[in-house]
Amino acid sequence: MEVGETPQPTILETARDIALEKGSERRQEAAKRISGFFSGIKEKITRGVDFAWGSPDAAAYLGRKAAKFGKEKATEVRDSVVEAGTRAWERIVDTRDRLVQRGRDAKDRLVARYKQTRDATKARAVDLSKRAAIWGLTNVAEPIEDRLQQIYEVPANIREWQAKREDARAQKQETKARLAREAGEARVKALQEEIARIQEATRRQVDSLNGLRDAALARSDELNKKAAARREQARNNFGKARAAVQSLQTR
Amino acid sequence: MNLQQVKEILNKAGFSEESLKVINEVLDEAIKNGYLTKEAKDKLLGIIDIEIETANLEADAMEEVAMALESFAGEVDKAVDKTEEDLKSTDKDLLDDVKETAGQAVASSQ
Repeated sequence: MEVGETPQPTILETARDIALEKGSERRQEAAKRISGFFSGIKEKITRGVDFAWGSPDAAAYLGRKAAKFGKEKATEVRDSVVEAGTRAWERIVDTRDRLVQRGRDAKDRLVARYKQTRDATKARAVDLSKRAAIWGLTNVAEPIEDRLQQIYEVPANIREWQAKREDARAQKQETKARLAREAGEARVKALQEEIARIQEATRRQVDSLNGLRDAALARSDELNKKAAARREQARNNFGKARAAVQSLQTR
Repeated sequence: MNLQQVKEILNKAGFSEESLKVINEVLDEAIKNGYLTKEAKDKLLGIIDIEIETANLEADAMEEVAMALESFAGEVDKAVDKTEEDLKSTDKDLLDDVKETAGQAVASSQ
């Protein structure tokens, strides 16, 4: 390639870029669907409560006949709906906690694999260094380590991602107890507020994890390109140099 | 190809500073003598092979790390997908619960 010529992406690189873009789009769609489920959960509670108070729209939404209940019965129906909503809220809290835990586990595994690769490469470099000494080379392993130093850096946003470590179970019990202390419409309102709160917390985690995912794939793409360039250098430049030496006659 | 031409090719190949220093010492000696010994040729080939191995070792390390990152991204994808599935199921179960509550209320009021 001439100096100043813009490198053209290979078919593989183009395919990777398309996959990256499509993956990112899919994640954005998943985030929208998650938001949709939260809206649906909140709506079901609202519709259930409205049904208890005789709303024909709510009855149609639930596929039931509209009914006018007495105050006592309506209160009983509303409370049942709130109980179902509270169970749903508990499941959402558990879902969010599992998401955070999976993110933590993935990060731990990534860090472990970085270390594993670094140790294995170091061992290979030491072995290479010993063999290079035969040819009078005394400083092979260290420059390799220096050149690879940067690739062993976990992307900044992944390294700094610290999902808030909290006593999730205690916090859940405390909120549950607080919801139980509320009664009537105040409890409905408190439940909707808690669902909105856990929705926001889940959205933040999903956005944050999607950001880590995109950063990981962008870095991976960058490293694959660098690796290909290094192999190309070995194959072309060093290969050409080797052929030139091989062609020399000796005495 | 003469020794000087080979030296030029080797100096443009992109070898490490240390390798290039030894390569040039060997070639300068050969140019001065007007010939290359078998030992000197083996040394040049040995150094080039070390450079090739070094480049492949570095490329392997980069690809290993790239794979680790891809695997991390895959795990994150799965975690988000599982969250979506769980929420979908919670949404559906809530609808079933509320419908059942409503159905029982209607039935008991008739």
